[in-house]
Amino acid sequence: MGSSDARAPLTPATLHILLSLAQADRHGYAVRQDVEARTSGDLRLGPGTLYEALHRMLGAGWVDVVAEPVERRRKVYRLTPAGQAELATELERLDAIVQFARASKLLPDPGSHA
Amino acid sequence: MSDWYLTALLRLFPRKFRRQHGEEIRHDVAAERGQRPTRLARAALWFEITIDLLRSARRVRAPYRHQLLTHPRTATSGGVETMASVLQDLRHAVRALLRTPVTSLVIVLTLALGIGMNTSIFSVVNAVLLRPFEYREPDRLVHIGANYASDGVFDSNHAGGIYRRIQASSDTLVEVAAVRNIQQNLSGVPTPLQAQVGWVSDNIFSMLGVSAIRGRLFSANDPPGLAVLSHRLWQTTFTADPEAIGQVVALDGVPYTIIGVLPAEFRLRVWSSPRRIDIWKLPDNVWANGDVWDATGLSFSLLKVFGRLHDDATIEQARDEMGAIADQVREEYSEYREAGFDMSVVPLLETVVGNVRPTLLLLMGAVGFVLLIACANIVGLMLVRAQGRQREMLLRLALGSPRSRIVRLLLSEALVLTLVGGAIGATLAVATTDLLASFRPDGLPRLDAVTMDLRVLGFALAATLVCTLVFGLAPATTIGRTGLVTRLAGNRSTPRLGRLRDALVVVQIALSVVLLIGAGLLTASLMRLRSVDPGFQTTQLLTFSISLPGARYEWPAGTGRFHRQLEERIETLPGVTSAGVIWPLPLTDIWSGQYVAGDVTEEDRAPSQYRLATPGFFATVGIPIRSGRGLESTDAAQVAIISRALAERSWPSQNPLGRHVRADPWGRGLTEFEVIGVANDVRYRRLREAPMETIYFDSRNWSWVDWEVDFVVSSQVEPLALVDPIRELLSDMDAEIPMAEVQTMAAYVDARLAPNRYALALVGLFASVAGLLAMLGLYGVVSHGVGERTREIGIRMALGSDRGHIARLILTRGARLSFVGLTLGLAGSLGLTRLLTGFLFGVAPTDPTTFITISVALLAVSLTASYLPARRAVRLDVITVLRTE
Repeated sequence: MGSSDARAPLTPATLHILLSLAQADRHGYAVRQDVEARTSGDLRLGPGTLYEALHRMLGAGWVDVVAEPVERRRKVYRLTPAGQAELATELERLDAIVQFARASKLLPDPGSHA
Repeated sequence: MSDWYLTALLRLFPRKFRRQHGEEIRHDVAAERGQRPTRLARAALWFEITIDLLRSARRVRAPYRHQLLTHPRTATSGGVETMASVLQDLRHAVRALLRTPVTSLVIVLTLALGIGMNTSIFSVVNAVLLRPFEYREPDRLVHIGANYASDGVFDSNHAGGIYRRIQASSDTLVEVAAVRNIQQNLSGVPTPLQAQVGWVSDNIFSMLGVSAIRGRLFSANDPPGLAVLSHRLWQTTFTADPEAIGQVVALDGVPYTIIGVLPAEFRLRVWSSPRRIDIWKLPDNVWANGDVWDATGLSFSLLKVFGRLHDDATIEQARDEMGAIADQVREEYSEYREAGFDMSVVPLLETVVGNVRPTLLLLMGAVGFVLLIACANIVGLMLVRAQGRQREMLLRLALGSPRSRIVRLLLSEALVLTLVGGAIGATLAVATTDLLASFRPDGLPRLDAVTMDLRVLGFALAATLVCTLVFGLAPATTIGRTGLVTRLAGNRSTPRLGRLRDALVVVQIALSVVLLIGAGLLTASLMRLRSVDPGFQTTQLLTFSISLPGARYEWPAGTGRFHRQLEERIETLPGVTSAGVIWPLPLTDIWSGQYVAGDVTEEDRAPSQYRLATPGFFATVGIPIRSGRGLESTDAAQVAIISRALAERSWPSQNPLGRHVRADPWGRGLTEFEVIGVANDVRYRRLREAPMETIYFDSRNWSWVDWEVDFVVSSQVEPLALVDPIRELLSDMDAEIPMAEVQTMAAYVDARLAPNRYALALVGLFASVAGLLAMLGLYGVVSHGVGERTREIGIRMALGSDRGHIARLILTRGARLSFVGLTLGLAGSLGLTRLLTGFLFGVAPTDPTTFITISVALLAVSLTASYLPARRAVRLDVITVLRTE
């Protein structure tokens, strides 16, 4: 299956899971709580959605499992270099959009209010 | 819920996914559930999780996996498109339905009614029959009943000595507990009251797995003299005071220290009719009439015994063991041998709800019929709609729309209708469940536990979905396979459709006839039961009970004197004709025993009802003394009055006066009583049972302490107006004795009929709704027929047909349908009403009067339903009709 089309925008769930794992290695439930906290509850990942996405990311080689469950301990996921690259591409794409919006005066310049 | 449900959902995922992430998902769900404290929040969580897992399972299984980390590029990719088009279908359906708002509304309301009533009844069935008890491991609890075959008494109570023996020698039962419900006067509180006391073995609460919300409950080796409060009593009498623990109260003058309070939801469910216990105490010897907890005498069979099966034991093993114990008991005690003593072991739930199961299943069946009729009705309406839209459908087909797409459209419409109807129905059910429970018929246990739960909602949902399939697919079948072009071009109506609608109406009428006849039979039974002469007067009578404390009254002299005095003083009140004492009240089957007299020899001892009475009783309730005399205050202790039935059986065509009857009211062996009078027969056990042989003893010689006796007061004024004056008299004599169970005799007798009335009220309601729906269906079909034949009618009239002929034409059609429906319904009733036999009294399941009455009524109503459209037809204006058509 390999890496996906790099130019396609990521789904919000994918983006937020990547962001969460970029900060630290986490197990699934911690990812869910982190995303929920960061988006102030706007994005709540159900267990199906969350593991479906992680499952695909494992398949695509974006994340790795660092600790296998021993005696019911949970799996911890870590971002791979490939995953970091996907995240960077997406963030650059978003950044380009934001810069364009600023240049077109659609967004206030952060500097002007500082 | 929960584990198996989650497992089922996870099965939707491919195995590989399940292996990798199943544990994680389970873990997360468990963690999440821990954060939802309320039941509602947990239900919401399950809903979210279900949707979430269903969606992601579908995506995981979809072939275009890689797409899903990123946004889909085009709208054509499978799954997403399907979702979108389902939404589109639904939007379409809503729009189509709004085009025929009246039909849609009628369908939704019919459905709401059908589903609402079904859900409501199911919630009762669920609470009473299906839901396990709220005790620890409820399916291991068993009732150990005592059978006294010779007295015709089964699954009854044990004497204390037998209970102790079971407890000491059973290996199959881990715990054996016993309870006796008695009434005692509670004082040492602001207002003394007659309390329902649960007299229980110390292991009862631990066996059931109940714990106190305040203080503690009984434990092994607790001394007597302790009491536990029900939540209700604690809330009311003790105003929820935490300081109540440690307080001392008195029950019939004996002090008890309060040690704890039970949870609000706790009920001891061992009786088949619910009892509310106010206060609980341990076995003690304060009952001066004898030691209930140790006596072995048959007449001390007062304890309800139940236990918990050992983990390794089966109920059959327990049965064998109890059988062996019963053998020993029969061996040792002759009175047990003569009584035909044996023991039964039955799951506790079964003893509590077993006898209401038929009623509830009857109701469930009846209400199921209503849903069927509602469905038939709606299918009829949907067919009419489909007919009106046949051109639209045919056009779609002609333009190349696949048939499956049209079926989907029709299903979507059905889904929208049923979901709305189902939602309204479920809401109705929630509202009416409280109403159903508020009838509180005496015979229905566990009604306080009627609530909506997931099983009930699941039932409503399942009913809804089944309806959807029926309504959705029925019109789809009418999309013909042939003659697309000819049908597009011409004729609107298809004969096949008309026949289908006719068949539906016939089915509706047939089903409703069955229900109406069932309701008719129940009504006739209730009327017969009401008009049964119980053998005593029920009007202008007041009854109440009092109980004298053994601590202050000596029995039998002290209590007898008190009763006599109260009786005399009540008789001096203005408006009172006479007063008397009886125990137990008529229509309470709690005290029976054998007798030997005349032709009834020692070998064939017969069962009889025992009653304690005062001289004033017979005149007060109007039981005539046929020969001899009534009781008199100067009588010796060993006299008795016997009922006519007993006299006729023992001394046929002989004078029983002065002879002796041997009876055993106190479990001390048969004692001789001289017959001084013969009284008319009274239905002492049940209204529906022929009078049983009865022996009256003089209560003066036997009046117990710590036990209630019932007073009956005959009055010339409104009986309840006597309550206050009597209460004053009583408190004048002893301020600590409350007047309990105050009611008129009429209300008391009426309450015995409550279960019959309850069943009848509901079946009657269902039958009326069914009949109404069937008539609406008939009206709809006939009236639609008129609409379709407007042109034909116009032409006939133009050609000189007279209006009477036209009207007959239309009426005939309606009459034919209802006649066929009626015939089928009568045939069905002949087969089905047999199931009602157990509910009927004095009416055969094939009672011709009921069958004929219902038939005539149905035909009359159905002619009216066809008359309305017929009238419209004859009023048609020929010119207008011919011009517009």
